[in-house]
Amino acid sequence: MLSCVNISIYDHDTKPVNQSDKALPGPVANLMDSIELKGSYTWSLKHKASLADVVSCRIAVVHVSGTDNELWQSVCVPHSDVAPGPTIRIRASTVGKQNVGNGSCEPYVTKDSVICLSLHQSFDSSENAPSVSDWQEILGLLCADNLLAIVSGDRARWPDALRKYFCCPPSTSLLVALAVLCQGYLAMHASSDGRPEGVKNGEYERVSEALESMGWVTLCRGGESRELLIEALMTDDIASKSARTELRREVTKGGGDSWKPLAEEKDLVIRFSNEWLLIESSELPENLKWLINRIADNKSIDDPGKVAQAYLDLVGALEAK
Amino acid sequence: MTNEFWQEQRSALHHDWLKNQFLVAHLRPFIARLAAGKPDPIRLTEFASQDWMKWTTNRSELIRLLDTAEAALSPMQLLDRLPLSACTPETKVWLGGLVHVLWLARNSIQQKTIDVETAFAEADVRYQALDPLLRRPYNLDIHRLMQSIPEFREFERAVQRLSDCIHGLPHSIQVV
Repeated sequence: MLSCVNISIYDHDTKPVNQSDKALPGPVANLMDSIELKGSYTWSLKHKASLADVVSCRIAVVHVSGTDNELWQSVCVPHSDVAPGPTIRIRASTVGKQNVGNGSCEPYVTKDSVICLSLHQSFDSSENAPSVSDWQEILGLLCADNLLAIVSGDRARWPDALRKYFCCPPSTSLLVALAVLCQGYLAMHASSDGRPEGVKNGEYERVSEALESMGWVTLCRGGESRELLIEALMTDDIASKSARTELRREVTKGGGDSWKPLAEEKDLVIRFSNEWLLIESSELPENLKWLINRIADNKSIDDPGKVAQAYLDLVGALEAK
Repeated sequence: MTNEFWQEQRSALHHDWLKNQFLVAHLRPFIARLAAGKPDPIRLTEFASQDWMKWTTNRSELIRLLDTAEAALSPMQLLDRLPLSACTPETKVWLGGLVHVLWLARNSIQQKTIDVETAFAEADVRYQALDPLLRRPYNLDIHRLMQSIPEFREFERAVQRLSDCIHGLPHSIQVV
């Protein structure tokens, strides 16, 4: 166990500005007051550090502008402290996931063995900055075991809290694309006064709920929204009954144009399941699985009730993400 | 303009400049100096010659940011990215238009952009009214500046409102 480690804190917002000593709030502002830290280290916080302090310390929390990668790289050098141990740099910025300069916020180890972590959240205001208890958790995570797990690259060994702060949010591009396609499908099973159209009695309620959730009902309530709808749906053709009937046929039939981008993806079911597992701890819900299988097999999507339920499941998961 | 580029532009223009530099680091201390009485003329000149005029230089970029907000934040952008970029051109037209208006309906985006534009217009009018007082940095009428503290405070509040409105715009593409 390591002890008496200095944490150096550099915050380009919180340092004294010009003639005023007034500190500005920044992502690291809450760390500027003394806080009790629990974890494998005994910490001694070195407040309002200069860049020279940062380089000399083994552990540093650094708030630099999201685009100032030069400054970030200049502090990611092995510490000059005589005490042995890993050098750790934690970057906080308002840009969040673009922190590390290559568009990724994944932890990495430099060629000089400096462990670089980056808070993935975007902090656009002092209200969104990590709280004292957040910082206690963040710094408490840097125990020897977790550092070894980071260096090994074995994500399975990472505690959830480490993922929460230092990993990019999972990619859900397929789930998001499917939500968009479901909106298109369901809109073709709705009338322009907001009610389900062309659905069986037993499906009516679920389709209504999905239409409400995706904004269709609000859109159809009239006024400016109604005009927007007409404008968006191309006024003279798609908004007309015959064009919508044609589109309904198109989104329902097997291998239809609108589903093709997903149908042409390889290993669709497995990839959907993997994306789902990233945001939910359960298996794919039944209706969602049904829909994905129908798309993958180029079969007709002929059950608006199931699509509506699949959409509602997607909404629940994506909103919680 | 892609969503990512727009978010970067917002971060640079709003967070880094408007909020942290212009408002908090410069405008507020300037007003505080005036309000404290006997302000240091060198510091007032420094503010007038360097910080105050940044509003004018960043004005057009800020207007462009606000003008492009709706398109840059819209889920319609997903139709230009994989996997939906593989949709046929016909599908992109109707589906893109549809997800855009649904998004507008769900999030009151147009009201938010109107609020931002109104806040900007108000701040800009107040800036233009005060600008003659600071246009000659090396020959400032300090007495007149001190008399105008209430107007500077109104401007400060208008900039704060503008900042809050810009912050209220979505930080990612919202599909649901």
